[in-house]
Amino acid sequence: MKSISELDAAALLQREAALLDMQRWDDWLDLYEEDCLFWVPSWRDDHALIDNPRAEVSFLYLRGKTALAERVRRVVQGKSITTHPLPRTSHQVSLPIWLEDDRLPESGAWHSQWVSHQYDPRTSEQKMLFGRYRHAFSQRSDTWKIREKVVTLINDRIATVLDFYSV
Amino acid sequence: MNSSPRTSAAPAQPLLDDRPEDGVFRVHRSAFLDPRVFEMEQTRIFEGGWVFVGLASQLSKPHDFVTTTIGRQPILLMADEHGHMGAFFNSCRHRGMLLQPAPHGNRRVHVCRYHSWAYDSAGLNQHISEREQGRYLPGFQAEDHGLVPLPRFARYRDFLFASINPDVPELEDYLGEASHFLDLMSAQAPQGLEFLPGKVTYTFRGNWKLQIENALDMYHFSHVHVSYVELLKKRPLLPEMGGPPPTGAAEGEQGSFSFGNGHAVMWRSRSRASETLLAQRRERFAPHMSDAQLKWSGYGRNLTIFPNMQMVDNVTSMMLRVIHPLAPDLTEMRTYCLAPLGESPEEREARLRDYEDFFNPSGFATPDDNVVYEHSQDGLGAIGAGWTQGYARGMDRSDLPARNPYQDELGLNEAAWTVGPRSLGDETCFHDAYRTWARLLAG
Repeated sequence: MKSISELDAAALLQREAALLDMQRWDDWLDLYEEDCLFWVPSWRDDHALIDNPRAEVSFLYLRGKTALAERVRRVVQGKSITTHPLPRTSHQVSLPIWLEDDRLPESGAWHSQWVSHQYDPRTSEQKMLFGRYRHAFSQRSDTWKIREKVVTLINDRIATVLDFYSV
Repeated sequence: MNSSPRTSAAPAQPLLDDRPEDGVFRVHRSAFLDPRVFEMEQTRIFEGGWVFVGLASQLSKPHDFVTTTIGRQPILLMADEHGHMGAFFNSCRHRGMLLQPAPHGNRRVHVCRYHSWAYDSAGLNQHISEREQGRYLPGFQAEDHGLVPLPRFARYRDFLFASINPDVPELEDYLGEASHFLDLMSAQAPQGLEFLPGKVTYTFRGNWKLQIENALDMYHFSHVHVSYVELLKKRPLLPEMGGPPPTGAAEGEQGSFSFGNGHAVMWRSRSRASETLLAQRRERFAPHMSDAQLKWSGYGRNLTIFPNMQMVDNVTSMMLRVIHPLAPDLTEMRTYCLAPLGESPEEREARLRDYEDFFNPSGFATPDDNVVYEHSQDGLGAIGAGWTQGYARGMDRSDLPARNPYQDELGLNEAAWTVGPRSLGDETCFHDAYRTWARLLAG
């Protein structure tokens, strides 16, 4: 069920990256389905991610858009010291490719590579996170929404903080 | 990054200004900054005494292994073919290469990747490659070639401890009355405690003692974690989990016990756990507990086993963290979702979500603490500003009864203590850790 075109999938991924980097949080939220999944699994082993978020630890397991909205509210309200200041970010996302996978409901998913550079304007510290995305999309009237975003975080020793905007 | 080394001739003296008779308790800023203090901490504290190294359930099957570090030294824990647990330096006897690089696994034989010397899961040498052709002298032949065991390795309930220094008290004597609070953790898990799979490790640019303080510090909660509390207030109440932390008249009591050797617990009598959740948990463990344990299992508790282990039981979920200092201003934290074996899948899932929300470096509480440590580290760099005033809350005991109202039910005879309203924010529970620290540094 690879119904979104490569061009539309690529445009949506670039849009998501740009909106995160521009801190246009509400527009970013609008990219997601109401019953979306945003998941950053942890690593069980050197080369195996956890695969059962009900029995194993995830970095982030956000089910539904309200869970994403909680994250956004925390960033916008500024009551968390973690958000003073937020890092400046720059997400680089590759072109997505469709890879067949019989274990997934749609028999496949859109895969891409990402790098997120972060810069703390107060300390001048830089960090870089990188990994892979797996996306699933749904069509709502004439637009495509993100139904699932599963983030593989390759460099998983977290420096101080990790949040939705860092990956 | 503010990491310029402070290079005066010797560490500031005294690092600890502890004069109970004058009502003074102060820690010098250089305790957090000075690389020579850090070096002494590594040698005399982390590599000089008992430290937590793992859970017994990590070595539940024959040939299970776990690697870790004590101070700067690599360690290999193994269960042999009979399930007997051992702790060894993770270093090949030949040229000292790291024998087992994997974090955990199951292996009958560990083969060094350099010249293929091999060891079994009891640490015995199984093979020295081309030994016959090696023209070894009889002196070598007569030597033991097995892995070097750690001088001390012991288990208390679910918890494994080891010491590189042989000259330490028995583990139970080291733990002292803090063992009652380890008992309470284990009593909640009749089938044993386990770490849920999934590695979470993070760093903060701050001194490890900031973490020691923070976990016993109730004073910071309503200030640093306000965004988490407000978020919980906005969420629909989850009957099977709970709501926001109790406030006002419902907030209950807070108190602490200090056990000597740096161990302490900070407790509060109310948690955010719902009655449904408490009833569910009690159903599983009540038969295995005393009445006092049953009562205290519903209290929130932050326990520090000095120097490297902290457990937080928020009742809704439990976490265990291992503190691994890397530099005066850099600390690595290994954090685990601690759970009783044999829990239902529904309980397990609810526990995980609560754990991730609060304790993860991607959660709503821990990152705020981490950022606070980093700003503290930077601010403590103001050596010229002199002593801080952060160890004084709770020192006036004139309103306290002569005896702690709870020590009898807990079976405590020697522990120092305080008790008060949740807003007390006791800081005297840090004192014992610093007294222990100063005593160990003095050598």
